[in-house]
Amino acid sequence: MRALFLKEWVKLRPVWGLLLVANGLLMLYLWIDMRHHFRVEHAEMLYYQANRIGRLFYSDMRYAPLLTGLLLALAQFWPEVTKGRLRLSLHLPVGLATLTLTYLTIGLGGLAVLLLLEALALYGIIALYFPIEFANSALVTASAWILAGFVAYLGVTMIVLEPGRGRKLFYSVIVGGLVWLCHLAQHYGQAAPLLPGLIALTLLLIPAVFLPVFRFRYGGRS
Amino acid sequence: MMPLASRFAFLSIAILVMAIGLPELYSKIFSVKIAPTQMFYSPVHQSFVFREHHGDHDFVYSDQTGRIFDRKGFETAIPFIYYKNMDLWGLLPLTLNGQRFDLATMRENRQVFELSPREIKDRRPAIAIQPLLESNPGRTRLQFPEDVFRMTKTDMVFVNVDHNVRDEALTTTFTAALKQAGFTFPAGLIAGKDTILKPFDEGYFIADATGAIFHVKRVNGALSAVRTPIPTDLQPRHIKVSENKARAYYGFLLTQEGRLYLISYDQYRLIPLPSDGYDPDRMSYKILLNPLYKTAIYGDDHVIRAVAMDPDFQPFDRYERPVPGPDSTLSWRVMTHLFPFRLTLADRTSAFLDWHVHWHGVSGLMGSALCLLAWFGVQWQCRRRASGGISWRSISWRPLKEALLILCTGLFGLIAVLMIPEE
Repeated sequence: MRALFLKEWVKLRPVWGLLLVANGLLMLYLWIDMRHHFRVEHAEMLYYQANRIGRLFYSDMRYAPLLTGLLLALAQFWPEVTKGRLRLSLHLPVGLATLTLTYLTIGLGGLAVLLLLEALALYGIIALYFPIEFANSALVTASAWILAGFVAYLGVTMIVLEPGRGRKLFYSVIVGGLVWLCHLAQHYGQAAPLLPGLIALTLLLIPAVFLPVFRFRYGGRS
Repeated sequence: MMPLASRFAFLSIAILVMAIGLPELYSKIFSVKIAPTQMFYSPVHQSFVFREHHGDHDFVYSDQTGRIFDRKGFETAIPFIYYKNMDLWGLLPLTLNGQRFDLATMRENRQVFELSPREIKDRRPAIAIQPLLESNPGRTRLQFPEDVFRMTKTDMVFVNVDHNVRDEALTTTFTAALKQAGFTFPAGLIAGKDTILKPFDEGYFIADATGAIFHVKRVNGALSAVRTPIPTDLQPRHIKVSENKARAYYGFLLTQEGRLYLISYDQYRLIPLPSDGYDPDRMSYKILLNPLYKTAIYGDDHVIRAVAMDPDFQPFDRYERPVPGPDSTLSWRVMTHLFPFRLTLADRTSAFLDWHVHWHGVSGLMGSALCLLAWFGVQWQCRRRASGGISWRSISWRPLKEALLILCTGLFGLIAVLMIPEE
């Protein structure tokens, strides 16, 4: 198991590092952008826009978690499937469920660290310029986007592992729909009542990933 | 066991996503927009007149007696609403009830107050940080101050917006002034219009811990706090402040029980408004004021009610009628047969997104039954192909679980089990 963890970490490390840098640069840009706003506009007008008008000064990061999850899943599973490595791994003396969970733990853990850092950076940047209530609100708003990162990771994993083309397409439509739900809100705090349901749907994707894994292992077709 | 759980997990996700996405897609392609019915009390005909939309460009202008108007006839029946058109058509000045009204009189003496469900404080997201505008800015336009305030358990805390730090001096002075006026912390409801796009500023109405409502303003840099005589047991749910040049009413006060009042400039006197059958969580409320009559109009997607009142807000006539909604259209009826239910997230009555399930009743079940027949047809065909013939004994119980799923979820379930069959 330890060897499996190590193998996955060694494989993911470069991409994870790149994603860390990319997300870091994005948050740096967000801070520069915010600083710029406060240098060229009156702070009271920015408060008005952020509160009453509902302008999201951090909307540039809306799709960053989605891309992060998508790229991480591709980096982890695409070479496994295309180079036939996964089929070899499936013959290791480890249960199929344990093996899959190990893969997912590494991927989801790495993603969680990236997205947690992103959320912390967002909180810090907003709290630097606005009272804490604005930072709390930003975190609630960005939570749905962050969930989209996990949906993308699990969804792309399913799509990549699925051997049948028809099912690949169906998974893509459903996962795409779930990602769409995570990005529906246009104003701050608007999606707060949706979050428990979105979290439940995202959690349901974890057992759902086993569906293509079993089909991959036992050669399912559709 | 695990493949079964995995399949169930994905089927659940797929059905939920389709229950949102497919009806939404259907509506985008086929739905017809029906504009809300507009109703007024006509000072010309002394009766309720309304404009009703029946889809496309089919608008009906009528009154409660069934008399049909053309558009111009309708607009001249409510001159205080269409006073600019009346002037354009050379119909002003106008004499009604022995009083003469010209353009300026009409403009100055009409007021409209509206409250929609999504404006109510607990039905929209908010950040509890507000600016306290200078109510006497000494110039023609209002301007934002360089500080904002929040109400904590013990203080009215001011934060400097340039440096995002607490302004101790202002916090101490204004908190002391508030306490001196009799305010008991912590604060409850805080209501105001935090914009400079208004003719003047009336500050905030803030409820204190005892239920007393204070009118709080910044005047010449100092805090002005007036304890209003509004009863402390009223339990206001929402106050909508609408600064209006007429300076007759501060705005609406809505109680937790759904009773609605206007707050008068005359010693903060509360004027009760007709609210029989008014549900603030579903219905928009509008009050039209002119020198002759006051009219309250409220309703939802199914019904519209209007109450005509004299200048002292005493009701003297009422009228209600059903509203033609989208459910009268063919596309709507087809949709309710196509899907047994639908999930929506956006709701006209709330600024939040939330999960709303809409059951389509018997018509939806009929659609599910058709899906079930289609499913049995597919099963029958598959088995015939697989075994070269079929008997009832060869049917296993396994597909019956799926049949039950299709019966409950209709087209969503059918698509899901066809795309993800059990293996």
